[in-house]
Amino acid sequence: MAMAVVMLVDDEVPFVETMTKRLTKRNLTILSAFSGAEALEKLKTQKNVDVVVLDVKMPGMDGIETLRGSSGRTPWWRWSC
Amino acid sequence: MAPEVSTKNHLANGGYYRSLTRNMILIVIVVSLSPLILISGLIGYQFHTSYQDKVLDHLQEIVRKHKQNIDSFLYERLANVASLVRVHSLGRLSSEAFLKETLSLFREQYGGVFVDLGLVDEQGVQVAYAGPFELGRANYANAEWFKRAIRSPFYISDVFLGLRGLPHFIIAVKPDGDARWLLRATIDFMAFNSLVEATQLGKTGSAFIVNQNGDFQTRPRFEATFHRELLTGFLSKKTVEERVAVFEQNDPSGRTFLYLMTPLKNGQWILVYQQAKTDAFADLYRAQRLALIIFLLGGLGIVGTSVLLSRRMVQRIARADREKEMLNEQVIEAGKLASVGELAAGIAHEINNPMAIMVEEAGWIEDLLQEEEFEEGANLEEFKRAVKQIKTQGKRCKEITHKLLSFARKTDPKVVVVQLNDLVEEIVALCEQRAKYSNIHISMSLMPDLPTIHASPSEMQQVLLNLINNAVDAMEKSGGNIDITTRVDGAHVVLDVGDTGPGIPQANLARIFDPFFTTKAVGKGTGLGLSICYGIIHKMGGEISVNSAVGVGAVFHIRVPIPKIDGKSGTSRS
Repeated sequence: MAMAVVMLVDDEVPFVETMTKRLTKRNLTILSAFSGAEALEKLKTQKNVDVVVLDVKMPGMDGIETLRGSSGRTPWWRWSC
Repeated sequence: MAPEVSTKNHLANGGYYRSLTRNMILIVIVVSLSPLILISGLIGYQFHTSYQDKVLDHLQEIVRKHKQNIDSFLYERLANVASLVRVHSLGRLSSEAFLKETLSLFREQYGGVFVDLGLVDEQGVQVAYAGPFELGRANYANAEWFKRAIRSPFYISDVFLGLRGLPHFIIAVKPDGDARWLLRATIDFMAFNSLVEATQLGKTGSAFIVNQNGDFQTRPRFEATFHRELLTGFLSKKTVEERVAVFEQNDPSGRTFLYLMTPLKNGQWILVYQQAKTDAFADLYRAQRLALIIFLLGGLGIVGTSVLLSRRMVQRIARADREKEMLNEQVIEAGKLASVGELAAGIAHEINNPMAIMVEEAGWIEDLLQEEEFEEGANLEEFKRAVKQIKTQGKRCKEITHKLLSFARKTDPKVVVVQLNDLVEEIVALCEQRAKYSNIHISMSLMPDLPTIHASPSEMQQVLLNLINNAVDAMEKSGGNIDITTRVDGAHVVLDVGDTGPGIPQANLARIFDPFFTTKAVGKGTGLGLSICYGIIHKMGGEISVNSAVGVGAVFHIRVPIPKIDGKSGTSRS
């Protein structure tokens, strides 16, 4: 069974860590990044990411900018909360 | 900042307004009165001098005219007698019958002026006489007039009481040549007097004739005290025949008299016209008095008006300053509130992240608790419950901050279509926790399909929040009920916020929407809440009012007009 690959992007480290543990327990492969820039870097090399959980309010590049910056591959479908 | 500081100082120091008033009054008075005084003075002086001149000219003219009348009268009478002497012979003139005839002719022609005629020889004996008195053969040898008359070609005597005891004067004419006799005529003093008396003017004007010694030749109208000094002054002036000289003198009672004098009878007599100065210039003085009264009244008016006006003006200024101060304070308070709001928003925002992490960790613990190793644990259930509670409370925090953040978003005064019911529910949810904590129950009776209104959602939120908070504050200690209803009344949407609190006393009801009016302790309330609500509601064309009874509670009513065009847009959400 192909496991979904999820990238978590948030500047709150404890949040990302705990979230990673929880999702890993549910058999998901988790990638993490702690800034928009880091996320874009990783996305360049990791081409098989299925879902990105993107925090909007981050220092440096915020969520929106990151999303814009990630064009260059097939467009993301967006859900916002 | 400077202007605000100065109004505070003005208000603190009452003397500022007093001195402002005083200065205004002074400036207005000075500016108004100065030109008035200047012009009145100028024109008054001009008028005074030119009018005086005019009056004096007029009097002089009258005196001159009378002088001419009198002089011509005298000379005409003289000519009458002289022509007799020239035309008729001595023999003729010695005839009493002839004299009688001539006298009656004269009396006919010239009125009763001629009293008698007489022919007097060089010894002074009246050889012929025609007249009403028994003067035939009267002897004038020792009479002053005769002694003078016999030496000059003609002679007009002074007025005197003669043999008859009546005032008269004599005209005597001698023929040319060596003949030493003369023809004399008596001129009636009274007739002459009335001629002079004719020059009456005003109440105190009178004319009379004096000789060079100051003896009266006619009887003056009043008992005039004529001062000889004036005469000497007049005579010493060596006036030209035609001139009328003007003098002034005070009588014993202090009244100033004008004397106009002109020579008569070749300078032997002087025609004097006398009038009280106040009488002569009566018109002038009256005009001056009138002008003075008007000036004084005007001046009073100016002073009074300037005082009233300045007072009122400064009162208005003071009031404007007070209002400005209040507005300044309101602005400052509003600024403070805004800062507090921002602070709260900032805090809420910051809290969100730690809360999220806590909830996440709780979730993680929940996940781990499902591991086999815990299945037998004695406290497993308790762990699960506790963790669940952590998650619940965390979610609760999140909701609170969420609502706070949505409310704290910059108040946008933009007017949009608003469904009041939704707004009410939102705000009630926000306040629910605090209300429950104080034992206050909030109930809503919202009319379904309430028509939408045009309003700024954030401003309406502010109003609702304020009303509900006020109700909660009022019932904090004792608890109670808050009831919110929405309904339609005519062309308005009506929102009522009622509480079962202590109520508002009648005396306060009138001032409740006044800025800075509060019954809360210092620091607990700014007194601005309801005044801001009032402003907001009125700005959107609505009304806000309150009913209350002490001990029962209070109800605030908000009426907002339903917009006419898309009034019934149903329950569209804002």
